[in-house]
Amino acid sequence: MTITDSENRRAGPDSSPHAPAEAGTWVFILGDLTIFALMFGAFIWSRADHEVDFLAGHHAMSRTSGALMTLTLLVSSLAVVLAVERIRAGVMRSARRLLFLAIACGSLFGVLKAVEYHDKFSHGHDLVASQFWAFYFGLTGIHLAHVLIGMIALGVVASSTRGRSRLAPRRLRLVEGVAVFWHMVDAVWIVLFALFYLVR
Amino acid sequence: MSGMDRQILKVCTLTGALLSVLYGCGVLLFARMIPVNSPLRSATEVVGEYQAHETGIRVGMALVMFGGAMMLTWGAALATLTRRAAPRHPILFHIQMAAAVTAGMNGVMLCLTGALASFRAGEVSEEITLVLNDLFWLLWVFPGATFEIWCIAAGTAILLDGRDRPVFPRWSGYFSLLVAFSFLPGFLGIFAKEGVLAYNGLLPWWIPTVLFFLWVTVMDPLMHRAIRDEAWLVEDLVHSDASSLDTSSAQRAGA
Amino acid sequence: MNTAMQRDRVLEGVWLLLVLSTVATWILGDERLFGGDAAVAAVLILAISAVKVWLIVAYFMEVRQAPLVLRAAFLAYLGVVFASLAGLYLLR
Repeated sequence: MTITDSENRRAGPDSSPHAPAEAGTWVFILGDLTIFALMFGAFIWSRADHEVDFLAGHHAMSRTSGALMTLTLLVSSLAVVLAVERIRAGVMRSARRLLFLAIACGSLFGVLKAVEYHDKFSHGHDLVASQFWAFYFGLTGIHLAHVLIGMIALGVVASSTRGRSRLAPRRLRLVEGVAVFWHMVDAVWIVLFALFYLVR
Repeated sequence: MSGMDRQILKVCTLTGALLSVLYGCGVLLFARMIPVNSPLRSATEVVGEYQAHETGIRVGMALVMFGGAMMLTWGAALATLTRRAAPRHPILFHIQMAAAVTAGMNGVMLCLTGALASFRAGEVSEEITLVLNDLFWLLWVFPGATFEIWCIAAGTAILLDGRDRPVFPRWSGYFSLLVAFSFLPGFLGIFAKEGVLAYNGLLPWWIPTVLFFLWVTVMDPLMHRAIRDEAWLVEDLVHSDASSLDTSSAQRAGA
Repeated sequence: MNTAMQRDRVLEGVWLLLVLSTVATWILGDERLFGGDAAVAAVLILAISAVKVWLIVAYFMEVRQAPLVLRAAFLAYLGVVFASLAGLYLLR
């Protein structure tokens, strides 16, 4: 696959529509997003039945921490997008640096989350304190698991670029799949940020 | 694979549909246990429930027990077929077989628990029935990890298929991984007694249950297709002339 | 490699938009801002979040250049999800 070929994959409006990664990846992504959507819906639904708990819970959340986490993931997503561009162009070392940046951001997100969890625990808010906290720990926990898996996947992608100047089409599609997964994780967080930290 | 082997494989695949029906009829139709009762219900209420639907529950539990046993046959069929997808990774076959056994045991144990609860409802102290009821649903919900491993092993085997014409369509591998993910929150069922994290809640009960049976339902026709495709491949080999014999055997050698 | 650089610029531009809208929602999330009427803020925040998710889907996930089926699926998803969230929030 020449550079021109991989360039063409992201060429202008006159090229035929094509999606990155393989079809199966999108099955996973849309499926996962649907499950998350059910959880978002359940959260808002539950809000009406536990108004006092939810108001108290929202009050205890720091939107600044949330915003920091959001920005961290946004930086990581940009890094991943640019890394994929570099991989397509065969600029592997630069791609690896960007991937490591993304992983570092993911780690930072993890640290911020851990600090936040600890803060909540120390204030007596644990998994069973109220429905709000059940949702909070449940949903952000599942999201965090996604972040961790994503980081591992990004690491695997980074190491797969070593000693190569070009990736086979099949492998490139898997790389794109990992990237799409990471962006999904970022997108899900944006909704979690809104629901837990901003909306009251 | 001989015609007889293929027939057995097909029957085992069919047990997938069958186990779904048995579970469905068992807990839904006869035992009337869906939607699952809240863990907050008092012992008296629980005993009352078991006594009210005594026969239905007992019949339902027996049906689920048969369904549980079929996890073994269906799991074996799936493992056999996915082994063809990833012949160089037999461990994925072994993991699936082990997981199918645990799934079968899980099914048998949980309905035995429910049956036992019904067996002595009203005769023993209410707390015993209450706890047996808890055990029933926690068995359904808590051991998500073994199901995760099952789905991951199957999905990985499917995705490792390097053929141009894979045994299973690649999206089913991704779908299997998604189903695996969905079992993750199951263990949260012991942390809460109401709401989203309880054993009758969205995360530990609804999502994994729906997705598991969806998985079985979706994989069944794909398994039938895989069995059928293999039949064509064999016939192709037997009836083709020398030149296509070369390509076919090359394909099989490379598989 | 001009098109490549152009693409990078577009992506960085989208990213900047994402950052700015994050700040916007952060401002809107201030408890004191709308007084008793948190609903207005809530709907705005959800709307901006929907746009943010769409930006990620369209530009980062490259769905903008994807076949119609995929674009439609995501638009449907976003529409249903955010409408439901806003609806449930307001009506319950």
